[in-house]
Amino acid sequence: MSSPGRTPQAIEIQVEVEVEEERDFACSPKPNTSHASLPQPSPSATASTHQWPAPNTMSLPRSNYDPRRVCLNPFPEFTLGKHRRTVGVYLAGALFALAQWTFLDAAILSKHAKAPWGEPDTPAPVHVTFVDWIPGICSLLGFLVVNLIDKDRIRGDEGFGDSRAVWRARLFLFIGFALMAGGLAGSITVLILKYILNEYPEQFTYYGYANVSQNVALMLSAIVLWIAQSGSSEYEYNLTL
Amino acid sequence: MAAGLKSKSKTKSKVLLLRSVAAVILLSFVLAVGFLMIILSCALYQNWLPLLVALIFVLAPLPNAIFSHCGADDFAGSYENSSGPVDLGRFITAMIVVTGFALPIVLAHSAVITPGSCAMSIIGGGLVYGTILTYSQAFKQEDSEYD
Repeated sequence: MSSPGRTPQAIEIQVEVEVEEERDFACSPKPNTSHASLPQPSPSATASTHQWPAPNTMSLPRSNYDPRRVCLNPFPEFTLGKHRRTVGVYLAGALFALAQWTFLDAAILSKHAKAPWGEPDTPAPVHVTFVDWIPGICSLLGFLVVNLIDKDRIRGDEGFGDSRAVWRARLFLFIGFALMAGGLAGSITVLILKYILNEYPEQFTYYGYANVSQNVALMLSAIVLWIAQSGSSEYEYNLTL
Repeated sequence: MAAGLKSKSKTKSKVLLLRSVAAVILLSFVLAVGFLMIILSCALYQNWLPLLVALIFVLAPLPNAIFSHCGADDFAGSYENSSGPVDLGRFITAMIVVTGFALPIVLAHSAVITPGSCAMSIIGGGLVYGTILTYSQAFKQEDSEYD
């Protein structure tokens, strides 16, 4: 990763009056602000060799302690070339529709299923109710939240001015992913509590499995869309450097 | 020399025209077969729900066509025209295509339509959408040839 880190460097001050600073200005994105935030000692006050403790050991490679690394995607580069973004977006749309249709299939099947197989007189023991819809709705909300966030805000590069915007963007990203993960967990909960523990026949546990696969496909769709869109900006980023 | 070159280019354009006319006729034939399949899948089983498949597949390229004029900047996106609206158009197009294939399967699964009707409408829808795709692709290639 070629992104510059913003960690303060060790500053050595000799016994002499002259102050020697080791800081590469080309690497730090905002030299002025980092300059102002560090407490600068007056040269007369320090009589001994003074060294600020570096927050991380410098032997590590830069990308291992870059605090922004959490939000940069660590996925490997695919070799789809320049059509990568297009293919990814199409694939994400297909996965999204597949997710919705998987669950709608279960709902329509439940509406039309009158009886278990082989015994046409007894009514169906269980139907798809609103409880089954809740995980899908959560996942859908999470999908929307995750994809409405500007990717450049999360990376937190310079040029946006407001540093709190980055923080808020990350918070909303977290909320979005938490909603999606909650939807997935909720669907598994519904599958186990409503269908498996009551030991319905396989015809009816299919509703639960359809619910789980809906949420898994939604999550996959979000991931594919994320990779497709952020990979391209990475490409442009490398070009501009 | 110039006259010979002109006549050569004329015959070349004539051949191109003939080829494109043949392609258009073939494509329209395939399109008609696709619609025939869909209508047969409805009419043979007295259930007109699969006609929705034809509507969906006709609507499928529409978001792509609308949104492709939104983001394409001549200077910025020379590698690939990638912006938010274009991506949204592609996303919706992919959604609609998958919907077109999934709708007959879902209807057949819950026994609203018969499996034969499902298969026929899927094949017909695939033919219709393939025709639309091939037609737009052919036009795109002709445009780039004149550049």
